[in-house]
Amino acid sequence: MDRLSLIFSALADPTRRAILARLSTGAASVNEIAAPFTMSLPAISKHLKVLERAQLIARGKEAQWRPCELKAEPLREADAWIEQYRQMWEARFDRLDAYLIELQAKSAEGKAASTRTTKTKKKP
Amino acid sequence: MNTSDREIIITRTVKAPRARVWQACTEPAHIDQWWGPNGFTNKTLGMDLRVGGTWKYTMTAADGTVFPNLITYKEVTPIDPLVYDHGDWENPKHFEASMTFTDVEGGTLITLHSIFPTKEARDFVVKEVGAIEGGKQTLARLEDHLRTLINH
Repeated sequence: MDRLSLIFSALADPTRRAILARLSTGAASVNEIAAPFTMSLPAISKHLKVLERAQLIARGKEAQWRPCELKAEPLREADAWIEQYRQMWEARFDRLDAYLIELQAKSAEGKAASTRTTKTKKKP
Repeated sequence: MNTSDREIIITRTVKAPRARVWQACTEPAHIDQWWGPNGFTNKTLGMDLRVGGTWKYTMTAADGTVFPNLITYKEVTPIDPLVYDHGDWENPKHFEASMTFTDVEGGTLITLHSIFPTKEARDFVVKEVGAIEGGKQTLARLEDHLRTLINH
């Protein structure tokens, strides 16, 4: 899998996003990370491995206390891609909006014309 | 399949009633006018608006480069969400997306859901966006050229 796919699939899980949110407040040990969850320590470790493989977190070197730390760079990569996609759609919606206004104006003109011929035009 | 974890959501409120927005999104004569990108000509070759039906179209850049696109409809019920796979002629499913239309005060809220993209989908979009950037450059060059002509 390419790097960005690893990042996207790592982010596609609520537990892993909760772990990242926890780490955004500072480094933490596996036990600390696992505390708010009902799942087992091995299950949490599995999630941490996925995050580590996507380089979203880094583990400390000390054998006993291996704190996990958030790494922002991959998040920026994912964000840059989403931003590019978003801009493409914003431009598309701009054109749709302008086109709908144009349509609305045309149909208003049409209505005004038919109103004139039937002499039911209201005074403004 | 619940994909809410993997969605990119983009919303926009347009100043038109829901029926008209639906029409603008599902009729070739309308959609060709805005699907774009800016500076491109969008041309529908065929649109079969039903589940399993396809919208086959090309986007032609100012320099003549043609980008073939294919949308395959998965849910079509006026005026509910329009769900489709988006791809090109060789690979019809690069990514799945849906457009939802909601009445709001003063217009219609459009919600575009796209699922977190695979590598293929990203490359596909990068190609399109690359084309958009290329198109802008072409237009800028044309503008420069016109300016030169006027000044001399």
